[in-house]
Amino acid sequence: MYDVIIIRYGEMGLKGKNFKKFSLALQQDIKRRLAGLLDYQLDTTYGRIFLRLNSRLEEMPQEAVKSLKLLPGIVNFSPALSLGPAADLEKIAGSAAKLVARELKQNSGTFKVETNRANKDYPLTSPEISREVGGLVLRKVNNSLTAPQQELTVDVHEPDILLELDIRKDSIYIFTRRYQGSGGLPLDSAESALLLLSAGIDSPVAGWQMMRRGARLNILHFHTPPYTGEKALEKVRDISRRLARFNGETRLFLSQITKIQREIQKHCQSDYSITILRRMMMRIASRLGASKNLQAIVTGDSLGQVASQTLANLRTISTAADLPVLRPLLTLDKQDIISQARDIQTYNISIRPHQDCCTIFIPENPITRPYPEPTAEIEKALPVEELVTDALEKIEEETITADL
Amino acid sequence: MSVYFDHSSTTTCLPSAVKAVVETLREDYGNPSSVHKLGLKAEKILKQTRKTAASLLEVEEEQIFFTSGGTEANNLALRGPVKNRRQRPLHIISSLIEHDSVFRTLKDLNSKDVEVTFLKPDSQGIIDPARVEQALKPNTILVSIMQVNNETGALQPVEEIGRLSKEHSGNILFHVDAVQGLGHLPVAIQDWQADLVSFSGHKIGAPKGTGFLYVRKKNLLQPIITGGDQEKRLRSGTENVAGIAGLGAALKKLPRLKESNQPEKLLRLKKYFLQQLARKIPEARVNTPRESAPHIVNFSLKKLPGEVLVNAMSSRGFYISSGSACHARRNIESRVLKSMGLTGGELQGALRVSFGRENQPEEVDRFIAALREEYDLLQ
Repeated sequence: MYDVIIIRYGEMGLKGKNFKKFSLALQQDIKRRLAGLLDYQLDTTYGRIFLRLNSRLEEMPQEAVKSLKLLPGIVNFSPALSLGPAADLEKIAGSAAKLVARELKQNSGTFKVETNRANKDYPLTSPEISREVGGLVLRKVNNSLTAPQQELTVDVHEPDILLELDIRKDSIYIFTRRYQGSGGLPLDSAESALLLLSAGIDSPVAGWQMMRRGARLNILHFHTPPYTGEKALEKVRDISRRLARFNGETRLFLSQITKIQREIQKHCQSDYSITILRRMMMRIASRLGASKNLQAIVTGDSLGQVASQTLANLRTISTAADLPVLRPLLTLDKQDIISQARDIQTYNISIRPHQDCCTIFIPENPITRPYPEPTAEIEKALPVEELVTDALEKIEEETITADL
Repeated sequence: MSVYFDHSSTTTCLPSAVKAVVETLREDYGNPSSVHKLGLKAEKILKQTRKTAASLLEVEEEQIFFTSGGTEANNLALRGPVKNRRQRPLHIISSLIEHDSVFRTLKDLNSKDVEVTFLKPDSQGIIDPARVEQALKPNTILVSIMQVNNETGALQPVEEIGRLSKEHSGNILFHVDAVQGLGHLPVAIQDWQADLVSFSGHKIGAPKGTGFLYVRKKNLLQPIITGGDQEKRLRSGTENVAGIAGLGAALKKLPRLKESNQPEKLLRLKKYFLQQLARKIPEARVNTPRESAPHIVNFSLKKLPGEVLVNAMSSRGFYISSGSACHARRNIESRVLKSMGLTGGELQGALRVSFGRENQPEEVDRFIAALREEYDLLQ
């Protein structure tokens, strides 16, 4: 049935001089994500990427659909049938009828034809082609119907099946499906960033949002052994393995902050402890990031979600960072974050019981308006530089590969 | 060298059990239900293990029913009689200190037709037989009390409870979960007057996925798993022949324990542990009573959640368990310790060490020294 998959990309098409770079990045990522799933030749024409299948497919493999739907840079894609550029209407209708008949089995029966004629040498206009092919398909499909099936009718306003004909110089493409992609820009079209990954629901989604805009990630996780155990760490690795599906081989940095938490507990007012701990994390992340040529820190903060995510807290935490702190989920609601976490399949890992922090270090009443000056004042009780240097020296690095 | 003090969680599979498993998987892979020679060989393996278990427990071979482990044995022992009795409403007596596979099964059965009384233990974690007696009703069909508590090691007066139950009515069934007792204490099924007794393989050096239920008379129960009528219709499903071969090998290594013949080595080790704990970590509150199994010691260190010390000790190669879990949003507390009246730090800071036959006093020394260090460092 299908012999080609048409992939449409969005705003990278507007990139002028840099287009080639973006296009190559996208092609690279498509090759990586489809390795082992499809057998095809990749071919590009302005505005599209064509995956020409080496053997016809009855149906798109589900795994390939999933990969393409979450591949940054793709707006949508269609499995299609192709014919020679001079194919006549009878031939077009013959192929189209096969596709429509198949859709009819699953849907109720109205359809409409839309034609896009880029090849102006084709002898008929777009409306003429639509009308003629529509009539032929209607007759062919209805003639071949067996009793219990619904009859195919035309509805130009709200059709169940949209049959699209793309008349191009090289070929004529016929398709009935458009799978929505994630949009965005191809991976590596932006520079790399450092994701602060916890074992929770939000930070993996923040990472995904950055990858969707073309940034490749390094990951930094803070843990508190022995207050947190091996199982919490394995949970973080599992989430990282999911993110590596998009990100490719990923560097995971593990930083022990037990000592810092204990020093804070000993020397600082308890209501400021979370804010101060986050500031310490920002310092460690900034230095690590800069040393690895990463351009920003990414967090899963969402405004007002918990006490440490008030604007005052975000401000005070950010002032401790030398790198910009990006918060792609800032204005998202929890439900939207959860729904995205389900899409990228990190949700079921994040809800495992093992937490990445311990009750001992959570103050009864964390401060919600910690302004920078008083915070810095309280922080003076800590040997900040010494603690940060020590933490950086002890960072462990692991290489994470995708779990598929 | 790492130190494994978590034998109540599971034990290492004994070399002879591993050998039996592997040989069976390789050579005697037949289905015991098959008519041909390979089927017969597999059936013989089942028979052999059944014989070993029956002889160890001084019961009949026909009274041993293989299951997938302690949890399934407990499920069968509790659900089976309820299914078997027409009478409703009926009443079951158990306790708050039972293993989850008993406690949650009874919670699940609990309904307007099935009333369950969960008895509270005393502060020692022991169920008072007088309370069982008070709780007995005319429609009580089943009493289920464990032999040894898996968290504290507390030894339950099952003989007394069995006697009182049977005196109340000869129709009452008495179930004993003996998973923690086997190999450590005499399992005196006749003295207990028990009708149903559960056992698990992986606590005694057999592979996981093995276990059995002693059933005094098969018609006391209805099956809870139906199918090909294996295990005389009481437990369908092709038998785990290799696992059962391993179980047989492990059972053969168990000492034949009597009141006069206790596992001296474990008793000495436990005594030594308690001495050293009192000497080196006097802050520890021991939750294990005097009347307890020879292999379990439960104690609390107030100032830290148990899981923190479990993690800390794990990173130094010492493996133990905690009675609680440390979570950011809630603390998961031990139902058993809570029912004994423990609260706050003593409840959350509970730790369990459980010994095996291979453990040495020298390991106790190293463990206590390391625990002292970690506790000082972390609190």
